[in-house]
Formats: sequence, C-alpha cells, structure tokens
Amino acid sequence: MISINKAIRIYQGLLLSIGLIIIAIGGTLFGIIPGVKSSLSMFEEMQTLGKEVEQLKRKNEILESFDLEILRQELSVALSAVPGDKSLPTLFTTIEGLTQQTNTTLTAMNLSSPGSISTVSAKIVSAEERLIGSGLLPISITIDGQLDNLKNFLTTSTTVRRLLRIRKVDILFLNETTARASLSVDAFYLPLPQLIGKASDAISPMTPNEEELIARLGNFPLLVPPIIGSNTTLPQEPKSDPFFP
Amino acid sequence: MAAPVGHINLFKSESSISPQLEGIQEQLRVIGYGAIGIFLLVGLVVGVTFVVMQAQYQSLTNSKTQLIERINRESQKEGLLVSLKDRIKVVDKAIASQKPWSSLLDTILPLIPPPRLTNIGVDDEDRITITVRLPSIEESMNIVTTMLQLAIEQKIRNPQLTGFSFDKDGGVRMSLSFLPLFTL
Repeated sequence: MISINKAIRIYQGLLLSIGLIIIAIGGTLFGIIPGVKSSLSMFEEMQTLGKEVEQLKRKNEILESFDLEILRQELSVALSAVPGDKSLPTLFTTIEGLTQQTNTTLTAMNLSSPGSISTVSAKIVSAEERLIGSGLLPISITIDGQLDNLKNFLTTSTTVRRLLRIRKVDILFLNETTARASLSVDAFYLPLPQLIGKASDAISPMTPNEEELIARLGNFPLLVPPIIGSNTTLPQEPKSDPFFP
Repeated sequence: MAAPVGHINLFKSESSISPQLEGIQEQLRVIGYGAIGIFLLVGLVVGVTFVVMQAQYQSLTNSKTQLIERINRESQKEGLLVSLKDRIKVVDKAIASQKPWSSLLDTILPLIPPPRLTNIGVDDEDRITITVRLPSIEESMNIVTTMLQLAIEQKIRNPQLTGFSFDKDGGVRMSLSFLPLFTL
C-alpha cells in the first residue's frame, strides 16, 4: 500500500498527462465522432427537409395563385369538351346541334359499343385510348346534305366544344350537289380522379400553352348546356371528393 | 551535498524519477493538455453546430407542418387543378388527332366533280378510295392520266386501280385508291 502511494506520488504528473490523453481519446471516440456523425446525418436530413419545404412552399404558392372560381370555370370548359363519363346526351345533342348549324340532315346514328353508360370500371383500354389518355366512345353517323354543307359539317366538327374526331369518312355523291356522308366518329371522355396525391407531391402551374388551349376551347361553341353553372355555390367545408367541382 | 550545521535540508537529495522519464513526462503533459484542449474546442464546435442544426431542423419541421396544413386547406383547388391539367392533356391530343377532312373534298372535287365522282372513302390507314362513273372508256383513261399526274406532282402516292367494270349502258365504273400527300 505504501509502495502504491509512493508510486502515485512519484508518477502523478505522468499519470495526470496520461489521464488527460485518455479522456481526450475517449471523448473523441465516444463523444465527438458520434456527435459529428449525428451532425452529418442531421445535415443530410435537413437538406432533404429543406428541399421538401421548398417544394411545399412552391406548391402552396401555386395553389394560392389560383382563383377557385376561375379554376371551376376552366374545369367546366374542359369537362364540356371531355366529360367525366360517356355523357351520351351531350354527344347526341352536339351531333344534332352540328347538323342543325350546318343545314345537314342526320339520317342515322349508331352507337357501336355503348357499354356501361355510368362507370368505366374493368374496361379494357385500347392502344388508341392509351395513346390519347382518355376513353373513346365510337359512334357512326350518316348525314345528308348539300356538298358545301357537308364540307361545313366536316370543318365545324373540329371546333365544337364537345370534342369529336372523325376517324373514317365515306361520302356517297347522290347527284351533282348533294351527298350522303357516313362518318365514324370518336368522342372522348375521362373519368375524374378519385384521389389526390400526398401533400408533398409536386404540382405544376398552368403553362401558357395550357392557358391558350383552355381559352381556345372556351371559344368553341357549346352545343349542350354547361355541366357546371357559373353560379354554382361552393361548400364552405372541404368536400370528401375534392375533384368534383 | 550535505547541509550546513544548524540547517535542515527539505529538498530531496536526488530525483525520484530519471531525467529521461522526466522528459517523457514533460512531453506527455504537453500532449495531454493539448489533446484535452483540442478535444474541448472540437467538442464545443460540434456541440454548438449540433444545437444550431437541431434548432434549424425543428424550424424546418414546423414550416413543413404548417405548409402541409395550408396545402390541405387548398385541397379543393388542388383537385380541380389536377383534374383540369389531366383533361387539358387529353384535349391537346384529341385536337391534334382531328383531321381536316374538308381538305380532302377540296382536293378531289375540282379534279373529278360529281356526278362522275360517285363515292369517296377513307379507311383507318388514311388510304383514299374513289369510285367514278364515266360515260366512256376514253374518259376513264383521262382519270387515270390525272391520277398519274397527281402522283408525279407528289400530291398523292401509290395510286392503284382497284376496280374496273362496264355498265349495261356502256358506261365505265372505276375504283382507284391512293395515299394522300396533302394534309389530312
């Protein structure tokens, strides 16, 4: 015991220095290195979080830049061009309106594959539908009329609000001035999405091209009553289905 | 060294550790104080950095929460916007896929007006088939010549005679098909 005390007394300076070195090494190993690791990890998380916050800020700014009423009106225009379902009444009304407007006579109309008139669940999507990104409703019509009126029908059909695409044409000339046109027409429809993504999902503002397209579409004559009236009242509380205007 | 008489020497007569060990001890003392100094300094920097970063992280987390709440409050707008943009894509493609069919008539009718032209048909692959009824075989040759001329002028491509028959009254019924090089 005496010898230990004596050794401690003799080597106390040495022991103190060694102790300090051990504390410094231990502190570095168990304090500073984990601390640096945690700081680096937090820095990386902060980078990610910072990006998310920037994205959310941008999304919030985009959303706040829109006027709800204008959005509703624009969607109303888009819905009258490409409805959320097959909307057979608007299709029939449009074709009828077209024939009236162009002084032609609708002599036959055949809906080749009407399918479900309410939902589109479990429907096989064709390559053409995949390409366009919407459902296609094929319809065959036959119209009679003066040649100029038929030409007018073909031209006007591309500028009506309920978008139509004439896929096939077969014109039988009855005499020098009148003809009968059998047309294969496609109408478009796109169901409204049921869910929106997460709050962190990015959205993009309307591009000038999109604005121009909507404005152009708005100038197309609407041959059917509007789907959403401009005086439709909005609920005060968020609705369960935010897509439905 | 012996103490003078009457004095007490409290100093050690010799060092208890060797001079070599004393040198090492001195070096270790410097290293030890240096190490602990560096350790404290680095520890302080790391600690302060961590605390500042934690505060910033917390601030970012709070911002994120607030922004998500604000975005959720605008969910109706988001729904309308997403729906609108989806629809605009379709509108764009739908308009692009429309064909100016009247240009077909504008091109064909001046060349072969009715009643000689009895039928124009266009299939899914945009191949145009025309049927003409002519009073004589000479005129049918004129039509063939016209079609060949159009092909030379690169207004149509791959013209084919797909049908040819005589009527009882001596007239000729002829079907021709071709691919248009004008914009359909």
